[in-house]
Amino acid sequence: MYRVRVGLLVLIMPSLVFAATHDQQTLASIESRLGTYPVIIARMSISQNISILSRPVVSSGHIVVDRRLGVIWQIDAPFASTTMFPVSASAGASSAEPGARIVSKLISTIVGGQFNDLTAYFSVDAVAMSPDGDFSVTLKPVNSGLARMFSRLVLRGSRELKLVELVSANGDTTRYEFSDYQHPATGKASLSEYLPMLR
Amino acid sequence: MRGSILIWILVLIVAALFVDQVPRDAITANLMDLLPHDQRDMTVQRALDTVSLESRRQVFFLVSAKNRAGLVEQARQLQSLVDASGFFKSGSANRYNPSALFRYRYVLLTAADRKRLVSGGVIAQARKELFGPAGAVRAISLQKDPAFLFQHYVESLLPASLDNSLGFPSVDQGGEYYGLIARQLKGTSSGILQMRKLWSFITALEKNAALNVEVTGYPVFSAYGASTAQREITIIGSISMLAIILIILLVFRRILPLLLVIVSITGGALVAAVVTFAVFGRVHIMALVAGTSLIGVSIDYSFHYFCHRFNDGNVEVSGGTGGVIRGLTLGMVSSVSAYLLLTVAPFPGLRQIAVFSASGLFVTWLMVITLYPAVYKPKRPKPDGSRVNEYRADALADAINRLSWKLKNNILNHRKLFVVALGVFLVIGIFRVKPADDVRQLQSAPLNLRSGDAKIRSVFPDLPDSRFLLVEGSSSAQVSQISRKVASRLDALKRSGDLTRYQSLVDAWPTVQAQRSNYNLLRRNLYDNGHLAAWLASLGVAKGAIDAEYKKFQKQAGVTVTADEWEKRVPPPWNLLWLGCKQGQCGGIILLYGINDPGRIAGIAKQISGVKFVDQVRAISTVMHDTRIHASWLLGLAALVLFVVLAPILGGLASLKVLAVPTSAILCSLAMTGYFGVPVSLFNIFALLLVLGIGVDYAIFNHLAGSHDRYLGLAVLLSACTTILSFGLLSFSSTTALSAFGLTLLFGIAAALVLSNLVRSGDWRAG
Repeated sequence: MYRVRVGLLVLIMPSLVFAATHDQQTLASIESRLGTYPVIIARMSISQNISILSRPVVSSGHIVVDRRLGVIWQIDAPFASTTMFPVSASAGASSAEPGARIVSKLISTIVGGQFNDLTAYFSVDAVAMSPDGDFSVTLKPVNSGLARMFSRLVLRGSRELKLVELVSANGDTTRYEFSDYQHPATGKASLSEYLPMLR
Repeated sequence: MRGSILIWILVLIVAALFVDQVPRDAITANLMDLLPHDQRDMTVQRALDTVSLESRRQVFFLVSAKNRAGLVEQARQLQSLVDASGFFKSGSANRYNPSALFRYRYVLLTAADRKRLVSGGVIAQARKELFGPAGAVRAISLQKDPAFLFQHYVESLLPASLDNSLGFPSVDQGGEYYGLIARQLKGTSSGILQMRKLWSFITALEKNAALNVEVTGYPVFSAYGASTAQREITIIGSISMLAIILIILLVFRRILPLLLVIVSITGGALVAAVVTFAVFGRVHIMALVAGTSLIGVSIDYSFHYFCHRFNDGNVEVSGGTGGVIRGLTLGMVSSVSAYLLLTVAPFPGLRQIAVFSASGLFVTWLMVITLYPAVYKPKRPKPDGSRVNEYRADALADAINRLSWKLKNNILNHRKLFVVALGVFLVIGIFRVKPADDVRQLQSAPLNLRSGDAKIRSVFPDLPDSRFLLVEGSSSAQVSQISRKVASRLDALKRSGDLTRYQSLVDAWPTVQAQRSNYNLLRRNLYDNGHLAAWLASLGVAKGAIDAEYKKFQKQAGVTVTADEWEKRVPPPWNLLWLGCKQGQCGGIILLYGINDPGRIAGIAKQISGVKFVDQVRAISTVMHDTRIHASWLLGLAALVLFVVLAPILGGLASLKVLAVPTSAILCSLAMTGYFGVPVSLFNIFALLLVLGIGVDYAIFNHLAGSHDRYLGLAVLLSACTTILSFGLLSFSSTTALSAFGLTLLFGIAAALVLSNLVRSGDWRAG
């Protein structure tokens, strides 16, 4: 029985590897369009459509992704709030709640242009690329923990990433729209040194 | 005569059939099975069973890659192989479903939320989360958990410091990504066959070129130990068996003695196995090794029998088989009495060895005295007096006699010098003996396993310690109250860096009274004051939905969760923290992480009534120490029993002389371990028991042999050679316990061989 199971696994493995490689190629082609930068600062507008609410929950702010130092998630309106996710050298990372860490990690991975890393969380469900450079990619979560929260992730953009839409398992959606990209030189000693740039 | 042959054939067939029916997991490799069951109180035992059973089944796999996608691919491949292996529970089996606690959402609050409720900060926090990075996740639960209080509680039960976004804990260390996959072994079996298969699987995983994987966990080390021990026993056993066969053929020049030796030892071992499994059910592999060693000694009975039959041409010495049977019987009775004494010890390992050896020796002796005379007919000398082939051992026997005679005389001629030299040798050697009872020192593991373990612990330092605090009380409320006291002391240790963190019942299960207080706090500071309604209305929640939430809240008034119910609904390791109540005694566990100063933790346990610091490794080492001391005393007592058995037959003085041989051999062996710097553990003492049994046989035969027994020296030398080949070779084993066993035996048997000559009387040079 053990041999049968291992045999089946050996037969299935190449198709799994092929699927993973194909997803990586798709995302790598988008990554190459967007380019990768050590530091990215962007304005973001967030709109959450939640089924029990009569109107969307809307907020705006900035996101800073420094590959070396971590991520700043700053909300400017409707009220000011800043959360930092420093890169940690150990397993004991940020003190932020797990949900915040997951979303921040996903968004910073996307905004930071590390599309190849997305295959760790999602598989490519649909891709549309126009000749003038616009793209739209729909991704589905690969692990059951993420799948319990989100049913899909949609990315849209052209030369820059414009929209990320997270669709939750119950159908609610959260849209993150990005604009005013900046690519400042790296060299900051800590994440907090970016805060004056966000005012 | 034919009757005895038929009876023995029948006995062996029945025994073989019985052994064949013994389940394979009845042979255990778990060190704990060798040691006495814990004599501590019931709650401690329950706590140990709960925590250690969990940790004894846990295996951790560390995968690594240069990026997250690669890491997920590695984890996926590993999980597929691990799940297909059939050794482990499925990864989804342990997946936690928080909805099991949802009914109690109004009474289970985190400490942070209680503070916010008091200070009025709950809504501000909810707003921050909904509009912050967690917004997309929080939005999902807004309808059922409008202030996210239950989400906070559920999240507090998950390992907060670990990033689980990939579906397993992962960490990025400067561009190298690591993932930790934890799996639990199926069942509790530590059977040797299961362990060997597990080790083969782990070895194959590590050799898999497509995987970067490190493995650790108690079962991994256990599997390595069992597999290595079995392989070494097989290799060393095969080499020694070949050597023994060669010696028998060279000396006796007939195939029949060899066949009889094999039949009698196999028969002894088979019947011994039947008796031991029947008495104990499960037997440790070390007990089998030591027990088989002791039965292996029964080959000596065969040698003495065959060598004695060489004398058949010399009627003066021979007297038929009666002479040798007296010696064999005395040797058997003394050894069996000494080993049976060990059964009074409260140590399963010792008792298993004792029963196995005593029954095996008895059966082998019985075969020698009943089967051998029926089958083995020595060739008579030719009528002209010339020797037949069988007597060509004469030259060897004479050479041994000359050498042993010379040795004895040299010693006796310089007896003062010998006594002083031996005394100095023993005193210095024994003074250098270092006891080793720390169970960790007995674990020999290859470098790759040790470095893998160190790597996993450095990447994920937050793995729980095997040491924990046990809190006892008359009710769950009292356990909770004491745990709270302990928690405040542990917080101080956290601040001083002596402890990384801890997990206590009070962190997650409020007492029923505290749950009622939580509900009232929510009612006063969130629902009745209208804060929740205002928050939901500001977001655009319809009035009907707000009213429905308030109704649900009112309906749940008075609903609380007992510790027993809570324990069934929480994820590991929280479910280990409540032991329940039995006979009015309730218990809770505080798990500890990153202990830097165990002394201070033990100090807290001493200062607060109802708290115990349970250090299992230390407890096992203490039991090892106690067992070693106990077994050492039993060794002395066994020598005393031997004296009681021998004195009426041989006389008091002669018995003392005879016993001086194994006693001195034991001391010499101990001294040699001191000179070689070999730490003395329980396993050395097991070997010394064997030296006692073998040494007394050598001495008895030498004492009983007259000056005309030409072949006694040959028989003793053959016995010593086979014992050294069989078990002395174990000193080359990489398994610490086997090596200690073999080395002690090697030194002891060599000493017994030399010293036994001193108790032989007369001039045996001429034979």
